[in-house]
Amino acid sequence: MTGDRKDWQIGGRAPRVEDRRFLDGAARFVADVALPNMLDIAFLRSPMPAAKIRSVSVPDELRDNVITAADLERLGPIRAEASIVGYRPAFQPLLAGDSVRFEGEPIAAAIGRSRAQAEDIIDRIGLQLDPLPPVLDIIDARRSDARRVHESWPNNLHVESLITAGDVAVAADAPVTVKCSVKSARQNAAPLECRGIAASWDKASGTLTAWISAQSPHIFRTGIARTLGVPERLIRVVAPDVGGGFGYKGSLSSEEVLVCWLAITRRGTFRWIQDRQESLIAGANSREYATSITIRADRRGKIQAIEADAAADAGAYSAFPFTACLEGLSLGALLAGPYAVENYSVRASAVVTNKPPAIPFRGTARPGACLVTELAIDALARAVDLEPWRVRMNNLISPSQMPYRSATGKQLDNGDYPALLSRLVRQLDIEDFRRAQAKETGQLRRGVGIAFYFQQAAYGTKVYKSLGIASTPGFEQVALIMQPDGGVEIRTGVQSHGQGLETSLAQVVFHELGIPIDAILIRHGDTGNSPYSTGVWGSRCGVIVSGAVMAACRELRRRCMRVAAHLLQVDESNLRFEGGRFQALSGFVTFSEIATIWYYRPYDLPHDADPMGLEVVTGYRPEPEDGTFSFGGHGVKVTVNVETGRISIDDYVMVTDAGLLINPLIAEGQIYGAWAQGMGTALFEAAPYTTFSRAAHSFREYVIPSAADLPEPALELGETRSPHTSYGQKGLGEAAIIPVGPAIANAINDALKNDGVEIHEVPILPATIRRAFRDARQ
Amino acid sequence: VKPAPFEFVAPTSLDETISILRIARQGGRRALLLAGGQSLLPQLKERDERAEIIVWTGKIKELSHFERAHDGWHIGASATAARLEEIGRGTPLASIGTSVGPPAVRSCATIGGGIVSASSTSDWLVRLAACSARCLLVGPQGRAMHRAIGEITVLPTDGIITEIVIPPQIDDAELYVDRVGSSRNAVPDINIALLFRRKLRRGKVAFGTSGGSFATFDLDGAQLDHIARQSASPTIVAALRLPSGDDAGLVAALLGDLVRATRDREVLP
Repeated sequence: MTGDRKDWQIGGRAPRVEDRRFLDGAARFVADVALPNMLDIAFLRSPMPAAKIRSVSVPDELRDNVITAADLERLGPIRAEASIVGYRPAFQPLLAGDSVRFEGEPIAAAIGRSRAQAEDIIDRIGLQLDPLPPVLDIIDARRSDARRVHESWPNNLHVESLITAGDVAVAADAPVTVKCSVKSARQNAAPLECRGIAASWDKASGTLTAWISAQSPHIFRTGIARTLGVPERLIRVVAPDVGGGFGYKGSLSSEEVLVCWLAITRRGTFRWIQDRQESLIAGANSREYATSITIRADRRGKIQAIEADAAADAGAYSAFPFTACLEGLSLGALLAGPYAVENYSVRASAVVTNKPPAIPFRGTARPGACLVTELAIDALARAVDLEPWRVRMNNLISPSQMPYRSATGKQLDNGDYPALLSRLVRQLDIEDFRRAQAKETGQLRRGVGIAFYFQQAAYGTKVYKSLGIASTPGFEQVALIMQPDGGVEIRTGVQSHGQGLETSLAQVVFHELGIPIDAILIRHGDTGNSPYSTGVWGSRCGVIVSGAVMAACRELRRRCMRVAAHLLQVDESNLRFEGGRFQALSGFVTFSEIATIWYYRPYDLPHDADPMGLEVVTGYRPEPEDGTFSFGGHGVKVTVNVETGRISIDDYVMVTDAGLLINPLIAEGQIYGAWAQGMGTALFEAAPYTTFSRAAHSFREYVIPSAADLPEPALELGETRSPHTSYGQKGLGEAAIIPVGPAIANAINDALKNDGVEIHEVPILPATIRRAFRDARQ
Repeated sequence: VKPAPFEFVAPTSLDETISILRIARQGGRRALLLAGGQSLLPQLKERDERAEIIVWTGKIKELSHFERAHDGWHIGASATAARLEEIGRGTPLASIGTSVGPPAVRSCATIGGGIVSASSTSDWLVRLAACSARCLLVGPQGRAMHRAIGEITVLPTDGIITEIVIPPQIDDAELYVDRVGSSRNAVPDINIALLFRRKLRRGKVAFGTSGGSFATFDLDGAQLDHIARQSASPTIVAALRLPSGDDAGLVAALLGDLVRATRDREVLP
């Protein structure tokens, strides 16, 4: 067994078992799937964000190699349904027919013996477009005179909702009012491995197998089956090793469905491997929000009401399964943050634009909402002339209020938010920093900023019932099979795309059953061998799948206890389960012995042995259904050069409380990884979308931070255990991405507070600083 | 994205290369030179650039020299940034190499390719211009001509850069460089270099901005003193004929930092 036994207990720092194959080059990604007679697909994509298609002409000799919308007449679009009132879905065609609605939208698919040959065929397809004025800006798109992206619609809104609580009118005369307009740039999740699919029709069984770089194999199967009108039992989706998901691979793409259609209709094997250019231009549209917020407060900065208009760019179509509703409505529901706010009124909307369908990206709307709230809190602090951390302290939900029902109906579980903020403030030594800051001269300005957050995770059914989307989670099921040799196989429908799931789940099995890690196999990501699952999203696996594995282990233990008691000729009440064996005064029985008897010597079983045997399928669902709430704060000190706009991160501190950590080593990896992506949001990443958006079509233009660009953050961990989960763990995977942008923006605004300059957007580039100074001068 | 089909040739001599280029032109076929591939390969893959013939320069023996002569360093156009780092260790020559892109790029990026594909903010262009480097071009008729780096605007499509000559004053000079952008991997807003000759108290500056400005200018001791005192003063902007608008302040600020850095070094042991 790798590592020490104590490392494999819950809370141990076991090294990741899956890493060996990644380090050895033995991992198998979609592009490694090699099948006989496999043909490659390339797509002819729209070079314009909005246009009427006048003609698509295919040379006669290439007719068999090219698919256009005309070939798909009997095939409907991908339908991302939701039951929310007022939702107007925009179903996504597999190939554009009359119009194109975003740059990169697939118009035709070419089939070649290689990707290069398929692209050569694309070169020979004639395409004539009549350009239309694109709708690109969220605010402009909502204007009544804006061109409609979907001609028959009355406006450019997928959904609009007023989220209210209390009565904001009671705060109309509040002594302090601050207003902020905050924008965040369109981003790309940029996983190391882009999307990909290899789909093969098996003539013998009459079934389709699709290997997809996906986070949710069952949900993808559902989407493919519904779109193509094929029974789900005839489709098997396998997610092999996946090189990063971040939400990007939780939504089904039209290309993936089309490749499945080709495999079924042509009884063959086809592959599409998305390249970086496709990923950056056509693949995603995340994090672009525009929000105006008004906070009314008393003179101590105690918030009396929040009003806001929050708009999320949802792109041209609703992505399956999360739909266009998720981002906009979540953004609108999260603007109170971790603060006790009773009066709340937010207009939330998901706006249609000529951009690719919006896809949730790690954190979904939370980083955007946290940016708005935390920038406004700092603006409020400036207005009441208090340290920003004091204003936060005056408003944070207190431990005595837990469990706390928020203005938007979330039931927060537990935690001492003020105490954690105090830890952060001590770490930053803000008083000392202020003394040094007061003596500064020259072109360098130093500032300190804080952002506080919670992360709701591991949602239950209720939360998604209100959306009514295909991926509404119920009981998450796993199968546990004890093999004849006493080894254990766990089969789960979730999928591991880098988060160490094979290790964490094995730790749960070891913790519950004492079975050596070497004798545990975690199978995941294959609809052919696992119970249905809504997949990996919302930081749910550590809570929900671990909970299901724990329940399965305990059920196996219960069944085995009866067999052990029979073998030892004692009453079950006189048996103890200890050190991986069933112990009585007279001796002990191991799992291995019980497995041998069950499979090879059934005549030794008790007459009342549980007929379900050594295979357990069981499920878990969080109670209460709001899930878990991890929380924390980030603090950062920066130096800004007001002449060049350069920003240096001098110090970065994270305090995070996600309950008990099943594996702190993996948890820290998740925290640092999410933080690095947050740094991208804050200081680097933007995919501007203009009338011709190839401005960001490679990593030369879409800049993600490298290790050399990042400072080394300090990390402190709290451990407020959830009262509701199996071990007290809470969802964690997205948490550290949430507050990075506002912490840095607040630090920069603190540095520039005497220059009359405030930044209310991310990313903040050197040019952003220079532009802000130029605007302030004018 | 995959490149459109092309014929790949790898000539071993300059004459052979010129001949291939000439014949391609006469036959109406587009031929492109491929050096380290840092610019051309992505363009080919994205089909932004196409050619019937790709001529790889990596085997051309006349492009691989690295010599110190009386008139300075003669560096074959195939030298990579990493090679400059290695051969020029401890000299400003190495500073040119170490300041070109991230390490992975430095292993491939060639000095010749860097000049051919340079934008106004190119690391290669700005550093070599500050060093008063010039390059030797061999045209379609095999005729050689020298051009100062920074003065080249259009290269003959069927010619080739064979070497870069860096004047000998680099041996007793110090190279100071700076760039402003969101990341080391990003195209910078501005790139600037100062070659400082301590004994003579003179400097040569080159800078390029993402707005397309590119300039070089010399500084004497008095100007250096003045800049060290007031980096972004309007006087300097006017005196040095810096670009107007926002770029002017930025150039002046960075120049001030670089000049002050030369003084910091003086007080170091």
